[in-house]
Amino acid sequence: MAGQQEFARRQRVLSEFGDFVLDHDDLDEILNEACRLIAEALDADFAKVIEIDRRTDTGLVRAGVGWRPGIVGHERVSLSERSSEAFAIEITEPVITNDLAREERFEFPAFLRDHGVVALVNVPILLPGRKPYGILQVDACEAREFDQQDIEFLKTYSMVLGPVIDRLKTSAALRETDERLRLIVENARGYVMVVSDADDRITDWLGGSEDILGWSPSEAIGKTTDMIFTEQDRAEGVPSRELSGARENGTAANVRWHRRQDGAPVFLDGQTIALKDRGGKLRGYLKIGQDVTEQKRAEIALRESEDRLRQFGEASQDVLWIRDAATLQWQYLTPAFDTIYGLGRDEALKGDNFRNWLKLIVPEDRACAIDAVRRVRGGEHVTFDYRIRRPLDGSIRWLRNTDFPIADADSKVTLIGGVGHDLTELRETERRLQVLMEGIPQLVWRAVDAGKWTWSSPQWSEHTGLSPAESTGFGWLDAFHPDDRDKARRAWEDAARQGRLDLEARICHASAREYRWFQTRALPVRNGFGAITEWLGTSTDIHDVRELQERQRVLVGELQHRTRNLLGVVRSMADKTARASTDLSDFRARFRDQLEALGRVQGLLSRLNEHDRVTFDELIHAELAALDGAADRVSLNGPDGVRLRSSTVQTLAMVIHELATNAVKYGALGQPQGRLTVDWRLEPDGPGDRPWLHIDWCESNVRMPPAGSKPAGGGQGRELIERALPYQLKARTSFTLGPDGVRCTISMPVSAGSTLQEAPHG
Amino acid sequence: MGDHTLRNCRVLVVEDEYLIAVELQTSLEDEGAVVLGPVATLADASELAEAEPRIDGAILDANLGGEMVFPVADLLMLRRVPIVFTTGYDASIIPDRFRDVARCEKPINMKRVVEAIGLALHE
Repeated sequence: MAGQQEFARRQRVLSEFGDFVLDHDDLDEILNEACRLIAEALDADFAKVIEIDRRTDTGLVRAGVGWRPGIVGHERVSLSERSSEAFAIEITEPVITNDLAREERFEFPAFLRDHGVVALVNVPILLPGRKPYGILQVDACEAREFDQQDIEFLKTYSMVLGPVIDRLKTSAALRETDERLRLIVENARGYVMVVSDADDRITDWLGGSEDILGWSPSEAIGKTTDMIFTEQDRAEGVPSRELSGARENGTAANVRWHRRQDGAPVFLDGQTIALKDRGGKLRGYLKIGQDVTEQKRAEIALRESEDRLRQFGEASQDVLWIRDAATLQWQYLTPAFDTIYGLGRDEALKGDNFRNWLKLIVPEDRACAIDAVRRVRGGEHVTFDYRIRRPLDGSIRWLRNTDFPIADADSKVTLIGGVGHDLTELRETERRLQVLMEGIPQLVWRAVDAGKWTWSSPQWSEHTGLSPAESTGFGWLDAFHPDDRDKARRAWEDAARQGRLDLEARICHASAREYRWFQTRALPVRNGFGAITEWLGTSTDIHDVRELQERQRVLVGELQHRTRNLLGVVRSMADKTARASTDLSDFRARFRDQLEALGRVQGLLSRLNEHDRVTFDELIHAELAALDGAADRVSLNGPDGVRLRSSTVQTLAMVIHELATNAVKYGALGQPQGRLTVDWRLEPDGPGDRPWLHIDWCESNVRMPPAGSKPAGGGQGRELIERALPYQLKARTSFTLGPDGVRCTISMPVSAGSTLQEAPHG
Repeated sequence: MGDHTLRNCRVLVVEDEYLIAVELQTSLEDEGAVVLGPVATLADASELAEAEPRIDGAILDANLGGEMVFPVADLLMLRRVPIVFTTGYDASIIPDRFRDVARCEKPINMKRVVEAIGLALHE
């Protein structure tokens, strides 16, 4: 009966456990309840479930009842050869030890003895497929015999446990997988994940689909996936081609622009995967793609930017290149190379193209080029000029290169960029200008900032003795006459406003040790905005011109003076002659003679330059020559070259004219037997410490008119001699009518420095 | 001219050209003036300008045989003697300090010179 009752109790335990399992799904809770029920059913002190851990070859006390704290969930038992647990698992049969003290087959963990365990039974727990899970162990504190019924019960119990554990473990694993998948899918906001059925009707709209494409899941589900393709792709049948590709090959690449709900383009990089069941039947499709719109845009922008740069490079008249900083070989070389170097790029890029490039450079400039490249490698920007000889025609070209280092993220110079500009035209122009500037007679210079010189021509240095260095800034002022320096500074102060500099000032002529007048002019050079960048100036020697102008001014003044005086004289003369004339025809004859005499004097005077003087012999010859054919009755005795002051010439000439006219009319030259002697001499140290000229006009053999008759010639000549000469020339004169002719003496100061040339006339 | 009479005025005449000097002298004397000079040189003119106790006016030829008459003009201006320049030069030859001095350009019109000195005297 006891057996019958026992059986019924054990059946109840099983059914209680079944109930418990139905209501619970936590494995530990279920295992602990299992232990409690089994210990109660078998009247055992302890029960536990040990789970095999193959990684460590140990068994973990996963659940249990009756044990002190620190055992369940922590204690591990060895699954070595000498362990009863391992043995039970191996033979997949219960193993019983009725008295630990007498057991010889196994060794037992220490905590069993600590708990006073004396007898125990191990029943393996097998999962479906007979895969061992662990051990159900029941322990007792007194020696006891576990009978067949106990064993059968335990086996039954263990067989129930297996599937329960299996179900719970699998569902936990599934839950975990589901959870992981959910997390993945929910967090993959950068990805479009769309699942559709075999007819491509969308069933799941996951990940970042809504964020990226705009449609909400409710809007998307039920539609076909072609809605996310661009209109053009739909028209070309891309969506269906992709699906068929996935069906045939498992996957199809899906890397293209798509369209958002709002029409904006989105670039997805991914694939469409055909979902098939184990039997190979198509269940649907998974489209998964990363939103790489930004990268794609950046890539396009970069490509466009590179393309633009390339176009710049190709269009540039300057050569652009990039060299590898290590090998110095060109990686990039623009077409302008062909034009400038006169060598095709294909040819230039052959072989060691750095070495070949150096060979194009004229030998004198190679060191400079090599040094420049070395410096760029060191991280410097370098601008250098050099010449090449073009293989095409052998001509020399001047180039200016600006090379710069291109560093990688670690600041290591990996590339060398270069811009080469053809300076040849500029150099030629500069050279021509240089020749011009150094060749013209003007002193040429350049200046900035209202008068700071930056350059001066060799002519300037030659003229002033100031070197270019001494002349820069305001050094040039030292060459200016001290009295003109302020004027020069002021002229510069006004120059910017006036837009020009114009100045007359004296500049030192170093070798002649004199200041000469120069006209200094400068015009501004302006940049594109009209601002003055520098001044180009010349200083032109106008010293001689100025002197000539000054002399001309004096001469014009003198001429005016003479002319106007002359007119006054003519008028007075006309008055006097008119009063002295008997009638109009007499006046006409006399006045014409007087004008002719004046004309002769003017002729003599006009031939002179500043330092010449009319000489007395010239004067008397001219006057007597005007009288016809009386030369044999005239005797002239006196030195040549007695120079007369210009101011005296006219009056003296008029006097001689009057004397001669009277002699022709009434005296020595009018009568065949008459004689005229003119003697003159120079007294070098006369009164007033000046040279004096003494003239003696002596007529002889003249039949004189009766005394007391009207004076011949109306006395005009006599007034000139006796009044005008003393007045005007400080002369001492006498005039007498002798018994056989006129005697007239004139003494007058003459030009200082009159030379005496003895050449008496016979 | 009645207002600007030269009667008994003592007028210095400086003119290097004899014929013109004589003409000036005659014209002035016709107006009743007493002519001092005429003199032809700077030296003579300076001497007169300093020595004469009374000079009422002066007619000065600017250029005396190549010498400028201006030192005499300065002397006379110091004595506040009214003067008239006769000149064959353009205006620029006259120093700026004489800008207010009346000028008669050569060839001179005797009437105009006499008028000018009359005006100067009665200013």
